[in-house]
Amino acid sequence: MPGAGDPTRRAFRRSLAAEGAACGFVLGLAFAAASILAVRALASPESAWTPSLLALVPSTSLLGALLNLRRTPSPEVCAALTEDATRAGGLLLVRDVPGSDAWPSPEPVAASAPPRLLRHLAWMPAAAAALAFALAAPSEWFAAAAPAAPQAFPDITADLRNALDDIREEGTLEPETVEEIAEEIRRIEASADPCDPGAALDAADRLRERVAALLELGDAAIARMAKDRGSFADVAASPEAAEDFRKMLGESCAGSCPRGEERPGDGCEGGECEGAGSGEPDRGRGDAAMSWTDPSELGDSKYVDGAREAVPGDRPDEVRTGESVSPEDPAAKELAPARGEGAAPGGISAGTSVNRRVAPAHRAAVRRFFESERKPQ
Amino acid sequence: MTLLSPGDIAPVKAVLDRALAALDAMLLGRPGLHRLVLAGILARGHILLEGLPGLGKTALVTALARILELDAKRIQFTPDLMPSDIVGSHILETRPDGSREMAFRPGPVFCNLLLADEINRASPKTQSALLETMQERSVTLMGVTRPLPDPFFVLASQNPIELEGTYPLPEAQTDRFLFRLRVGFPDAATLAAIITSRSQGRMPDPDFTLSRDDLARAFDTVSRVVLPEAVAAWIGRVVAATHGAEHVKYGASPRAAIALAESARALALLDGRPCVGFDDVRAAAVPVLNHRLVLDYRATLDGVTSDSVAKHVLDSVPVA
Repeated sequence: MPGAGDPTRRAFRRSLAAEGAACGFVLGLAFAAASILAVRALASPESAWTPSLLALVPSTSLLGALLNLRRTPSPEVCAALTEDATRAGGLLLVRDVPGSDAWPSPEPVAASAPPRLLRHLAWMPAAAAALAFALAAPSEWFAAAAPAAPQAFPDITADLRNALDDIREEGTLEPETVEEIAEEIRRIEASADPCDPGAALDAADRLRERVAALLELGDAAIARMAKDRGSFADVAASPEAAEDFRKMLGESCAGSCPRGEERPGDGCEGGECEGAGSGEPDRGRGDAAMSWTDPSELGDSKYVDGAREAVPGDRPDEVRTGESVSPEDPAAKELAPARGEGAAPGGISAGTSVNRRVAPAHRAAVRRFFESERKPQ
Repeated sequence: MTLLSPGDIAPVKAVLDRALAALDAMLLGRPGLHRLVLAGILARGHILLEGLPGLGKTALVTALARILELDAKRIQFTPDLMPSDIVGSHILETRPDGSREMAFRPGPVFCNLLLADEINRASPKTQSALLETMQERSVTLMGVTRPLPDPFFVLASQNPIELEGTYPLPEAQTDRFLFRLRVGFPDAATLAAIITSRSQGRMPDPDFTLSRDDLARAFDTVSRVVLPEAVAAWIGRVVAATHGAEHVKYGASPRAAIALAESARALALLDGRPCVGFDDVRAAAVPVLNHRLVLDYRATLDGVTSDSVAKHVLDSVPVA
């Protein structure tokens, strides 16, 4: 172990250990304060946690100090750091090599560790203040943050039972429906598991929604149809059911009004329904006929099927070839590369200057590049 | 492993200090450069001097050869220089008895101190003749390997601005140089001292010369300077950190780590210490690493030099 017995190295390591312990202690206090705040905000009742919270303070602070103390660098690392800090020229690292006694020890004045101990201890008041706040804060501050206790399972079924009694007295729903709901409540209570009330709560919620839907419809026929979606077929089959349905929707004519029962102002004059949704049941736009075989109407299309007028050159025997002089220099045309193609190989002959602009952002780099070609590195 | 005693180091340091003082007296204004050159000699390394014309690169080598009392030869590298002009060649000789045989005529490389002036003016073929001589310190011709005199150093100079008609040194050759030292421009006071104390710029004779025994003792002492494990580990981390560093295409070789350790040993001895410290490595790191880092194109665009990259790597690697 190089330099193990050197007082300079020992002092350095002691300083590092004290610094680590102080840092861990402060961190432990801060952790305790944060934990206390979290527990007080989330836990209820508060009095049950108080002894544990108080025990948290010394345990976390001491544990933090101990953990950081164990992270103190090894003696070898301390020797190297001290050597570098004191500029001892390697003499601290060869303290255990035979013959080192003949050389003077380096000056211990510069051997003190980097005094970061005070910097860590400066955080101690802040951590202590946070801890005091966490312990002394009034309980009322945390009451609002505490979540409401979940409603017990029997209350939900009792609520349903009370609602069902009211329905029974007012006769809002048919007796069969009321009995069915009561049976459902009994089934939910029988199958409820106190350890896992989730399924029963879900079933009760679904039942409540169903009762609310029935109460909202109010009409026995509509309630039956809502219960059984197949009842909508009765609307088409039975004129009475269709009339009920039409009344429920508040429409005067649902497109199926018999001829002769037209009402002026309803858009059903002459037995023909002209309002929205009128006419025979179909899936098209209004009364437009729909078929898969008829050609499309091209009235609003720009395409016109027809031959254009013939122009000279359409027929091969009308094309004439000949020679002429271009107003531009053909060589210059060959030299100019197409846009985006770059210069073709050999396209720029000697003597031809290429005028390309360099983006302002690149000019410094290009200048440095060419300057570096001429200057020493 | 025993630490050198103060009694072992003091006489060697005294001799080296006198040699360094003599060099400073012959060439004015560059004590730091002279110290690194002497450290490179003590580390048995080859040195590449780079600088503008007229800054005294050749004069430095000449002065060093006179102080060290070594057999020094100079080769002016030119584009038509051939490998045989460096290492020698075989010629057909007629013996007195009338028989003929191929006789070896050694080239100027068979010396202690070879000044390769303007080394980048020779073709790569000719430059390659120095590869074996610099690394193995031997010359192999026609199947016969001949060792070079001991010690053997190559002190080369090159001009970084006149690039026409030059051939950049290949990486295999630059890696064989222990240091690449940049010879800078002296300040105005130094210039005034030079022109007032030197007639026509001629440097005076050295007031101290180092004998071969003194030099051998210095070599032996350098090899006994202790390299602590922590410092050796740091050297390894620094060299490894050059690989993958920003702006670096190829990092330093293991030869760089060896060169860094040996030059740090020499600097510790010049400082009169029996062991290497971190500051010795810091002092030698840039001259050792700057010519061994192959930078990428972004370094050219960003204006980053190998010196700054080496310094950044050195600062970014903690000692422990």
